[in-house]
Amino acid sequence: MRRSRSTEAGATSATQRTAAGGRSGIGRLFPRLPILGDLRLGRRLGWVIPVLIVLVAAIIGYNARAIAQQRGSALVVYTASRQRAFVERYTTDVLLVVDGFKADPEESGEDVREPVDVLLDGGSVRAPQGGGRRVEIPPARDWRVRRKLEQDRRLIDQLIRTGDGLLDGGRADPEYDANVTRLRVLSAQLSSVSNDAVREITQQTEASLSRLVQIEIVLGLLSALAALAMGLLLRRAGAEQAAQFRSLVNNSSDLITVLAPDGTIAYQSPSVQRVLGRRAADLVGTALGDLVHPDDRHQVIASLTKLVEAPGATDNFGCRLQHEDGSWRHVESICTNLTDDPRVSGLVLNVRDVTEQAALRKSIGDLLHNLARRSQGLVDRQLELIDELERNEADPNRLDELFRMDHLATRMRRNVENLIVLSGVDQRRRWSESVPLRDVVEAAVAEVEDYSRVQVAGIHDLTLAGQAASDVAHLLAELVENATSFSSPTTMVEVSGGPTGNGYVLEIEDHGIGMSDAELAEANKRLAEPLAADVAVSRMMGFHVVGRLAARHGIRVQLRHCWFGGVAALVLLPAVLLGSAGERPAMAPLVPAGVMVSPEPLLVAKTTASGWQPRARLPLRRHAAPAPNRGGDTDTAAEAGEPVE
Amino acid sequence: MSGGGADEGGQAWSRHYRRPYTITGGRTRPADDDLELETLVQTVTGIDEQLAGLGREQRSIAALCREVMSVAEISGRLDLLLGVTRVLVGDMALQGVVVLYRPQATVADAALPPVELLERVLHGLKNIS
Repeated sequence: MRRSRSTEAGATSATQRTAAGGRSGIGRLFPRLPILGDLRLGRRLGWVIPVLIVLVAAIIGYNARAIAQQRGSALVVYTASRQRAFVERYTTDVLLVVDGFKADPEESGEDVREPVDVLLDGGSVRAPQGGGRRVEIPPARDWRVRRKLEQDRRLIDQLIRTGDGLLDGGRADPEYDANVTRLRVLSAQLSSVSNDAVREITQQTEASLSRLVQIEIVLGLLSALAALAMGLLLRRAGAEQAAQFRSLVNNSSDLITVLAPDGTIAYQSPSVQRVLGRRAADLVGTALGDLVHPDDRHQVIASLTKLVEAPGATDNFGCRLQHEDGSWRHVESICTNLTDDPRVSGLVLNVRDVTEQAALRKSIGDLLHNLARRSQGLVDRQLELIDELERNEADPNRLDELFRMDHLATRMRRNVENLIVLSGVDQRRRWSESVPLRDVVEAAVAEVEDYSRVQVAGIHDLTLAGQAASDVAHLLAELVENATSFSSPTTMVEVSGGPTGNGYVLEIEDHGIGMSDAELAEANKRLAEPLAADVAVSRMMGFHVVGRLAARHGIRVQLRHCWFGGVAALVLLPAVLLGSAGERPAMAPLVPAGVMVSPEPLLVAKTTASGWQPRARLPLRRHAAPAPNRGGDTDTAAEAGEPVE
Repeated sequence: MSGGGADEGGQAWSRHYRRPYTITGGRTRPADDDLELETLVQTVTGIDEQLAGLGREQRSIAALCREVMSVAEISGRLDLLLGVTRVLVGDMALQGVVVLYRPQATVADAALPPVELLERVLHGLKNIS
């Protein structure tokens, strides 16, 4: 045990090694033993198992030896006592023969010699159980026993000589009486010496047995101690492992929170002290929603409510949590529903503090915003200049060139304003007065590369709230741009509108090859859940910008298959953004007032002048490929400004 | 630039964001190359049912030209670019919505005023302003 204590001194270092993942000691020795392997006992446990094995082997060995010795000594005692019987039988035989009776002293004499010879020199005797089986007896080793046995042998020699003398002389021998007396004396002496020998042997055996028993008791005690030590070490290893896990949880910069299905905190890891400056014990039993920023609360509660319905599901969301000092920490959390797991029975939230990343993102956003704002100012001035030039231009050729410049500058302004949207800085230009919806749609068309293919029809005489006008124009421009990009340059893209129960729907239809169901679902997902600005987003800026802009004003955007092929984008403007134009009441049935933007306005006008019509929505296929014959450069757009025959 | 006589709020926004090239689909050359600033335009009577099919600028022109009016005047009153007005009026004439009166045609037989007279009128106008 002392050794085990001394190894405990190195317990921490052994734990660290074990924690480092190495399978040391027992784990290496017994890789197949799952329990030992799993527990990854420290190296200090290594000595206990071999010691225990040696002890148990020794106990078994000593036991076997003790049993063998006991059995051997019983045999010796039996043999020695048999010798006494043989001596008496010989004496009797000799006297019987001398007195004329029939007996066989010769054979008895041989029998008398056998046991003592075997006991002294080793050999085999007939087994006490009989049956002719013979048992080996080792030569006696103890000197006291040997002395007695040698004395025995001398006395037997004298006895047999005396017996022979009697048999030769018979009763006629003058020394008959003396010989008989001598024979009896010798026989009695032999008995006494044999008894002594047997006693000696028994004593020796008992002494050796008691030694064995003592050794076994010691070994047993040692094994018990070793087993106890192993048990203690195993328990300590388990406790250390638990402590290690606890320390991981406690010292992790992440928060681990278990939420009861009703939204109250059932468990909170102590790391909340570092992240939110709050004590874990204070938070248990309170509602998580109380910590969440009021602006984020709705979204968090919606995510959690959805998650509670689906055991085993996982969801991610970001939000702000309030620090004890009142400041807000940005966190990202991964939430897993483990209500099915009886050991947890709640939602497990892994919450990471991303305040620094959020600050970094904000500073990048600010930078982007400042750059974009400066560019916006320059583009605005450029457009004002172009306005002036256009106003005074009478020559159709020079006006055409001015229109191309105008178009390029307009598209540049759209990009710059999209960048402002992406920067996440909500600092819009305020246009307090409401704007005719038609103007907004036409502004959107002006921002599209291939604007001459866009046909606007049946937009009702409504106005749009001024603060939403630019955003709606950019939103529509992205959708129209998408429609023109993914349809043939010879086809038209139609923009139309119509009132619904809760607002006004603008529909942008193309006659392209359509989108696959998966692409459509992906695009709709991005529209519904715009991501945070990052590199991946910049590649798919369009839909992301649309999603962001739509979310700002409560606008809903959805892509659908068209029954004639192609895709229809539906934009639902909420009634709160809309107003009536002039004296007309809002949503009144109006004579569709078509605004034509088309190379051949008078020829196609009637086809689309019928206003809003509900359209069949059938799933059709399309794969997104740019329409053929498109250079994709600005020159194409400029050329598109020419009439298309 | 905000056409159609729309006098609602948000004109500033519309002037800022609507672009003139969309009105004609980018065209700058009228269907009729002879369409001059002084060409007079008049809407054909009884043509109202066709107006629904026109663009909003064209409907404004049609409404305005119930009285005879020159192209330059239309441009000024509707705040449309002159180049754009010419294209729109040219399309309307081709469609038969308006008729054009070319000053050259009406005064072709009459003697043109002498150049000196025109120069004096110009000087007089300059003095007024």
